[in-house]
Amino acid sequence: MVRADLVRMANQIAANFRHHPEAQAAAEVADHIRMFWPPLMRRELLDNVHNGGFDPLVVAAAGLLAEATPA
Amino acid sequence: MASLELCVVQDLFLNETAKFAHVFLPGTSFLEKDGTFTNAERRINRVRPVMAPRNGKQEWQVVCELATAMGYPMHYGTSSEIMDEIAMTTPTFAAVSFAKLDALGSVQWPCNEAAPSGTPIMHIDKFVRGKGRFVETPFIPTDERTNRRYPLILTTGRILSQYNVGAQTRRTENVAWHPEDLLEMHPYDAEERGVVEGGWVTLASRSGETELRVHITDRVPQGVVYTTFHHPVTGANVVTTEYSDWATNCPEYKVTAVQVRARVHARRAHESPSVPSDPVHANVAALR
Repeated sequence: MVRADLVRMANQIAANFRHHPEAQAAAEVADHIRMFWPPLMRRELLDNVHNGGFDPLVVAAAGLLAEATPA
Repeated sequence: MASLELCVVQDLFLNETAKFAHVFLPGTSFLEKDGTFTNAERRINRVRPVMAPRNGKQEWQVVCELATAMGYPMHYGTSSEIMDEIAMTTPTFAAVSFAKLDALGSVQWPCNEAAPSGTPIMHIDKFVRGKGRFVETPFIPTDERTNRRYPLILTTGRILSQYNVGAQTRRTENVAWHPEDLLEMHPYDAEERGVVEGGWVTLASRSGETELRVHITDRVPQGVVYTTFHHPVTGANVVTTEYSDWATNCPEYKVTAVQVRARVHARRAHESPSVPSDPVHANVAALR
């Protein structure tokens, strides 16, 4: 997947949950990605999330996803 | 689509996707199908054929033979056996069978041990989670913006006499009502650009450009232009962007910043509506 598309889609999700308190927002973003993104996209997110461009909420959500994802 | 290693299309007609297909498998019409149709009311209906498939096989038979040839044997004898497997693996369909559909006419899922005749109304008094969950949905504007270079908003849509890209409806006499996609434009926007009724224009966005004819009307407000996407030759989706909504990834075809320029160069071959350069018809001719 093109990295710019991955960043845009993840940041869009973050924007729509930003009105929640931070911890809840990160959990909501992680929940949405876990439920609706295919495994390959989730893997690409985890592999790329520290390379810049991602909303801090996405970075926090990726941390939650990583905890629940076997390496 | 062009980057796919293998594209297999099964359809009743050679549609736009079929142009990218390495393998095209013939489909069957609703008059030939044998199976069920589940509508948005959750109602499972039997579909019975009135004639044998002209291509010699039901679509499910083609899929079964393909799966078997690829090392995953599927040996269903009839479509009712497939429904039996669906019932066995899907809790909301557990009590569905062709025999029941023949006896009752149709059923609405969930249809299982708790509701053997189906469930006409779901969520009486409460939802599974209780009274429900209210979710705030803040307005998040699109990243697509008009500017001096692209000052108009393009929105695309449908017309009653054609269906989507028209693979089926453009083969009918409905083309008399809608022989081509037109760009609807407000009189003030047209006047500013020297655009005349029926004249050819270039429609350009940050993504691409295409050419089509204009219909001047105050049906659209100033600043907005509108077109349908029923004729592939128009290339309306060349102009629309890659943006989509955050939750379902539905393409944002209703908001594209564009500019419209009156076209000055000579007409191209396909531009007479009476002699359309229609890729669907061209493909059909090539296969005959």
